[in-house]
Amino acid sequence: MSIMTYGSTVSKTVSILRDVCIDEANGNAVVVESQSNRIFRYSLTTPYAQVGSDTSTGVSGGLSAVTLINSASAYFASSTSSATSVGLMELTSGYAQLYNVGTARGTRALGRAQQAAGDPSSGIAFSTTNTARTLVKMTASTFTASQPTILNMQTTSEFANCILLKEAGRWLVGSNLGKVYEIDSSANVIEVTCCNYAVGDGIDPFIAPTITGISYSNNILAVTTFEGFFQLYNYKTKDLLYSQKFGDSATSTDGTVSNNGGLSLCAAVSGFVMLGHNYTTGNSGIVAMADITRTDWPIREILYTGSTSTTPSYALSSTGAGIFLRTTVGSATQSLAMFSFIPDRDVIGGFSSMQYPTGTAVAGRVIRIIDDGVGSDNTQVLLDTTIDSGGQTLPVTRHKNIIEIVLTDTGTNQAGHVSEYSS
Amino acid sequence: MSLVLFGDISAPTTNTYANAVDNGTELDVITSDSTGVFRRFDLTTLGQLGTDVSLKSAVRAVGISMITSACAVIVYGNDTTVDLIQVSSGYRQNYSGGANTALGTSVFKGQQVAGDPSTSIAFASSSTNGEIVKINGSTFAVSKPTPAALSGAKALTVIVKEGGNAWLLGTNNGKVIEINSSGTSISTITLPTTPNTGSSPTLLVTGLSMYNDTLIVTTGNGGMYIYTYSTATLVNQTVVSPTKTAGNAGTVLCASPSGFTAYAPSNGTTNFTQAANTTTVLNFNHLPPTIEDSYTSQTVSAAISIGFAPQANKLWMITTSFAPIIRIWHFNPHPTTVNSAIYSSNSYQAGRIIRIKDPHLGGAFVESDQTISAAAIDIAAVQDAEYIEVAIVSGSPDKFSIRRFNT
Repeated sequence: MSIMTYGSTVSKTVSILRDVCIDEANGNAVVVESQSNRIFRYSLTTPYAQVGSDTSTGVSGGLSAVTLINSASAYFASSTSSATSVGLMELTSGYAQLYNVGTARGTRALGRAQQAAGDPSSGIAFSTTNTARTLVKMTASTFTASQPTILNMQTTSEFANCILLKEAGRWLVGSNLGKVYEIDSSANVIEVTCCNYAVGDGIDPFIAPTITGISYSNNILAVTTFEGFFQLYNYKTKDLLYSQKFGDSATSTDGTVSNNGGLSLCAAVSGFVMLGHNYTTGNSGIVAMADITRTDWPIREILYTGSTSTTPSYALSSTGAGIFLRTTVGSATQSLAMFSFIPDRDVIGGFSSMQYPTGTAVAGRVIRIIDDGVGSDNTQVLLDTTIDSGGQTLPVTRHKNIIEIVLTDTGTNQAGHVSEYSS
Repeated sequence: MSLVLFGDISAPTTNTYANAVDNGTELDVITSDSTGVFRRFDLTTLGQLGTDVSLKSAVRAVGISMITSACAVIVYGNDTTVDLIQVSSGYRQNYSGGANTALGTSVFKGQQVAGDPSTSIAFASSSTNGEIVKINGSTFAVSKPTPAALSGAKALTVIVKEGGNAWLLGTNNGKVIEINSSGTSISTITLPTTPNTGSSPTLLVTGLSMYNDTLIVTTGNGGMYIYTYSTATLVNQTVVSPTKTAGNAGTVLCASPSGFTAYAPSNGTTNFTQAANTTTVLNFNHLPPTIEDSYTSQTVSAAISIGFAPQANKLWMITTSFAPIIRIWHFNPHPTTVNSAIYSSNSYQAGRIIRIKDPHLGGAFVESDQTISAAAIDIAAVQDAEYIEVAIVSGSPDKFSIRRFNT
């Protein structure tokens, strides 16, 4: 892993930068701010160069979220409680149009990332709301906005705190009651993950984490919490694999919008994510880049942001560009920082399967080890997860010697198989 | 290996625990009140041993360390004297010539004084830039050396270097300085401050731990940096706790008896009343290290000091804020060995043994990987753990064998 920062940052006067997303096709980052409710576009290939003019969205206040909804447009939403409109912005021209939701439905948070998540393949985007178990859904093809309900959520006390596109047609919604819901484009719940602080006895196990950030890559679910924790789960088995107190718990809410505190995450690119403190949490001065496929030691590099800065939102590009928003507490002029990163691995898919007895496909467990020579410093576990009975394709680092252990746990009849190959 | 809560030692309302040192099967504690005391606890029964020994009045004790096998040294946050105390009898003698510790009395944390019983010398932090305090337990001389590499900075953290007769200072300008028994600086590691977005941070070194040439450094901004010490090579970095907000506190670490260390956010960080504080044991017998176990406490606030008591198989932590207590866990940091061999065709075979520690699905990691000759050998392992072991014999093709065992 190698991060290179650029020498300067861009400041926007009288702006509080709130959210950013990546427009891969045009090579831009799309940024929203909540003072004048504008949208800016910045080039990822010419760092800090603004593309086009500022876009005035016309929302009634507290512009808080932006995400791509299709190849031509970004979806945006505001957090103000009276917000009855969401909008679309044309990515190349900057033209924006508002669409009526029907009822005031501001986003859950202002100043924390992942308040909206779009699926460009289907042209659908969701945003959170400050109404229990309710989302706003925007369909780009029909220019209609609706308010679907996640029926599995508790009626009055459970809110969608953050949302992430998991894969085409599937979203992950983190709740204030410690659950991560996988939903389809109709907000039907496909799967639920219950997050917990299952260590020690000090935290009552029935007191759930408040989920403030989500990321996902290759069966690993990453969450950050209001209490300042960074956790990794095996998505299939729901096992908690890693739990680390990264930062302070949130100290306050942000005006009328609750649950702004805690840590924020961004969508994963090749298993890499960024995390850090969001707007209303204390002054950390650090963001971190983590490899969530490495459940033993996921945080790989620290990036220093300045002693008075918090970082409400981040985004990574598949081209190796990154951006995060910096909020200097007490200052009306906010800035963003851009950087490049080179992942320390090149990931491809590798197929694993298990037979026990020979000829009978069974589910099992696979442990892949990178073998750079004898010595525990040279042999690192790449992944340790379950596989289905039909076998499964899982990520493997390219150009490495791999030792693969496949295990089946059948009571006393534990069986194992070891193989070697080059990726 | 798990952290199992053993019990809590509550503090009388008139006292606030400031620091402690493990001394065999007992824990010797100081309180930071202006009428402070030295107090001993049995780590098996958690009962008090003997009676309280009054410390110097109207000053606040900050740090304690064993300086000989029988005596501890105590340093103060707002006084230039130090105490030597014979632990078993409670006989205390006060000596002048020292300095206020770097922390003062507003914030407390461990590793303010570090004694080496093999040489009867201890070094402590100082509130004055460029100087440290040296205490000679044989001559009872107290002096203030000025290591050249410490010029213009304070040592916030002091430990005895692995092997003894040398000390490591963690500074308030992001350095780790090795000094000899004269207080002369020998070498310096400077923590990285890049990449950054144009403003280099000021890193406060708040915790140090060293074992088998691996040095772990924690900082006031919640960072953890892991070095191969002899080559000053940064091999890993991560974030393990919140940023400090007051004083010179941050993440506290403890000395490593056998490749384990423990850490926890210290006082000076905030908001633990709303959430949790996690005490974590890190296994750095291998790199990158792995989290051996962690324990999340809601009712216990931030940590002041933390340490292993290896003879008693305990981990202790002093906490502060609303309920100042000493929390005790059972933890066995002692390694064991498990015999391994490659046996095929009625004879031992030379080959390679990869031993994988298997705490849970998703958590497997390679603990050891070595070639062995055609014989059975003992390989170090952790107690109370599950393992997967792979044996490889080179050939065309290679031959494999796998076994699973518990210790």
